[in-house]
Amino acid sequence: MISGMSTVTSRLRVRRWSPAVLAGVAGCLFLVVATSPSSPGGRPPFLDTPTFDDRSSAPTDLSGWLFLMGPVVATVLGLCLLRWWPYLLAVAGLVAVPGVMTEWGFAAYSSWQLPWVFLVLPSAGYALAVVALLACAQGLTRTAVGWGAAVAALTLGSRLVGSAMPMPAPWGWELSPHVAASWHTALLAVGLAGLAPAGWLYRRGDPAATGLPARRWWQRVRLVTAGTLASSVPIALTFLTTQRLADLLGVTWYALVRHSIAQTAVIGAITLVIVIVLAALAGLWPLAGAVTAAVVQVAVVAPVILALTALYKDDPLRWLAALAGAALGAAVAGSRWRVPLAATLAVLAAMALFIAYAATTGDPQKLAAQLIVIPSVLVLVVCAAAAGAVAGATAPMLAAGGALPAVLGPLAGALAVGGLQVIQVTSPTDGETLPAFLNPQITSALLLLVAAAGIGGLGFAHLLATRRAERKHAEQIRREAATAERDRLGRSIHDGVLQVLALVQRQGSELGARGSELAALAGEQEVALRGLLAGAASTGDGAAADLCGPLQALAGPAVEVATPAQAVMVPSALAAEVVAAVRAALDNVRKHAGASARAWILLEDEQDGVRVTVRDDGAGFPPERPAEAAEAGRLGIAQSMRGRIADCGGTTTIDSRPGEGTEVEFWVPRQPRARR
Amino acid sequence: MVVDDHPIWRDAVARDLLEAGYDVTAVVGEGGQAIRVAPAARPDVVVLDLQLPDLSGVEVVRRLIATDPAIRVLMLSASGEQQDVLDALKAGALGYLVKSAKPAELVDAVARTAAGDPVFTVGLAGLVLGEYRRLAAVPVPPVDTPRLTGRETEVLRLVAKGLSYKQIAERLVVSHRTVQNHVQNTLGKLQLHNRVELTRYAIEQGFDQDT
Repeated sequence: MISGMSTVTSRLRVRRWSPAVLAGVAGCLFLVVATSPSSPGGRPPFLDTPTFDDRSSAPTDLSGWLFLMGPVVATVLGLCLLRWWPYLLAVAGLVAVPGVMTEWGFAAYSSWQLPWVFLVLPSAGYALAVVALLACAQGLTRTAVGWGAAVAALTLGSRLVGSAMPMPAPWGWELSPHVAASWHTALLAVGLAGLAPAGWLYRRGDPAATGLPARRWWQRVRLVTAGTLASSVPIALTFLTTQRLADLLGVTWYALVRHSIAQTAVIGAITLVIVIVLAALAGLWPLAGAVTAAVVQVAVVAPVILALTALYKDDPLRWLAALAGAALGAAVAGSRWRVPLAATLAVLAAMALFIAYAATTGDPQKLAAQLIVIPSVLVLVVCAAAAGAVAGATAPMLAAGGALPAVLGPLAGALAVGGLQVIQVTSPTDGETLPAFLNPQITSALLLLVAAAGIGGLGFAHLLATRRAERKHAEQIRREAATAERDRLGRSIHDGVLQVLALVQRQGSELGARGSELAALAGEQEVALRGLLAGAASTGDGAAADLCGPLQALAGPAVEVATPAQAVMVPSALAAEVVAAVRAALDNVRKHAGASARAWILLEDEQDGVRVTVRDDGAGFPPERPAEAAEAGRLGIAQSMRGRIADCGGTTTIDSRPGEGTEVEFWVPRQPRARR
Repeated sequence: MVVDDHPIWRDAVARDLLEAGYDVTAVVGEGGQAIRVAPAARPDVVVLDLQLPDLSGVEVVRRLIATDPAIRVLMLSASGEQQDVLDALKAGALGYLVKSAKPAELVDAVARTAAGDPVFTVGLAGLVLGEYRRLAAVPVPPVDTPRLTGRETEVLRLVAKGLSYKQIAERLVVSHRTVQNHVQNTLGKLQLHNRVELTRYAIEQGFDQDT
């Protein structure tokens, strides 16, 4: 029966998530298209080490602004419409079409003739595709964690594959534009076709993709805000022109232009600080996840460019190696041991870089200059795999809080840009104003180690958090079961045992002396049992406790208790103090009021406090007696209960007249004032 | 009429009442049966166990009072489910006694119930007091929320602290009858409020259309 049910579920699950996986892979094709430059000789945009040009002002015309705004608008749209990710992906694929048409020569060598909107669209499409793919991964982590992590890993891996497709070619290796165009057309067509099943399956949206229940809307607002602001950091930085930066740093404009690496690094550092603050605003997990993903991205850029350059003549080998790396990364992220394996891959990549460094006697550029194939392939595969695996391994942890798209998308992206700008100063070359992209291999290796440590730490923290949540859950279930069991027992005792005890007590007294004895015993047991039930039924969840239960439990043959029907909730510490004070008062009654004295406890739930009265019909005492007792050193129980109540910020009134019994009244505020 | 699902109990109560000179018109073990028998048995007082197998005690009280408003209900319960007792009281029951009460106490309580005098035990006074406090604590209380006068609160608190009517009368320097009236009023207001609420609910739900 059980096994049959599980087969049905798993079959259903296969049906549910396979279109999403297909769409995830298809969407990655768009990223491949977007990151492989159409014009030969252009640098792959994803791997481009950003520099800070000498800009004199922010964009002046509308199209310039739109070009900057495009990705931001796409990011906001994507983050707000996560559940419609298949359609967002389709849009991202469609906006790449004009670019491909240009490649085919519809507007060859005259792209400026196209409306400028078409120039804006591809950059927006790229941002949209990243967010939508991560939304797909986030939705997948609900039903199939491995596939979700694998898709998240592919969003990074596919960008590396895209960068490997044509040639970065500073050495002028030519690629026919039509080869690129045919590739791009094929990829776009396959990608759009692959989206179709998911588009149909999620025609009403994919609620799992938001990753959060609707009532946690504020969390979503936080993530959307952080993602939006992070993606708009470049806009803010356009206002920081070289002249303004020079003024800010107190140096001359000329000095900054001469040391443009330093200038870029300063801008990068500013970016890093801003984005880290934004990520921290989004939460602790988003911060840790974004930093880890960004570190690994920054780390692999230099070695991947180096390897691609070394392999620029080996056409299928180059992108096959990149593809293998991306696939390996996705496979590792999809496996059950994604965290340790991702960390291992990162360490392995770092080792490879150290070895390359040693083998080239400190000048890894030789790999590229001498076109050394096999080591370059190894470096490419292991670096691409490490990047994908680490990014993918963070996915399940981030998806739990619905943060995956915002964090691995705009936040990690902006952090990586800042990091790439900063990393270049770690290996400046003498006399060159332009940075050498291929040199910071040692920094990359160190960063890979940092990423390995980061993912390891994250994995450990996630494990602890999961354990804690599980323990809490188990505890809750246990408590509910205990309550249910107690209620069940309580009901049967009410219906059976208590009735019989009451009956024995009632009839026994009519059967003579021995019967009366029996009746008295039954009476005591009945009261004790009732008190036990009332005490057990009092529910409290640590912070607050019901006063009715423990007070009802004090009832006995000589003590009657009156409480409201509703629970009287007070902080549990306060409840304990009040009950202790009432016990003390009852002790007092037993000691001083006389053997036959009876007592009554009244609990009243007032607006701002709780009033408990303990009255007895005993001997009572003249008003001056407590003072006498205090003087005689017998401070006694009265004093101790006064002290308890005063500590809670309450008051105690004792009223007695000889022959009329004693009345002790406690009043405590619901919110205890801070003790001085 | 005695309503209790426990046969020994039922018979014991009936016997005590017979011995005390009361005429026990019916002895039944189920709530539904009680409601069916009541018009024929025409009891003055119904001694009702709150825990019945078929209907809730509250429901039985409501229907009994509906068939004959003159019926007076004295609740018996093995261990007071506080909310049930309060609800039954609001539904029109006149008093409440724990089952461990002595036969003499039971007979006395039936006598008082027959006279229309609410049987206010300490626990019951605490419940009623708590209910008024709860009603008063509603942030925006409706206009017709019942409220206790200062004197009524005072009397009710004294009852809840275990003082007898006589002691209360002495302490407040009023007559025994006045104390009794005050106690009766506190219950009456609560039951009236309950009826008004029920009627309003019925009108809102459109139940009055059918009848």
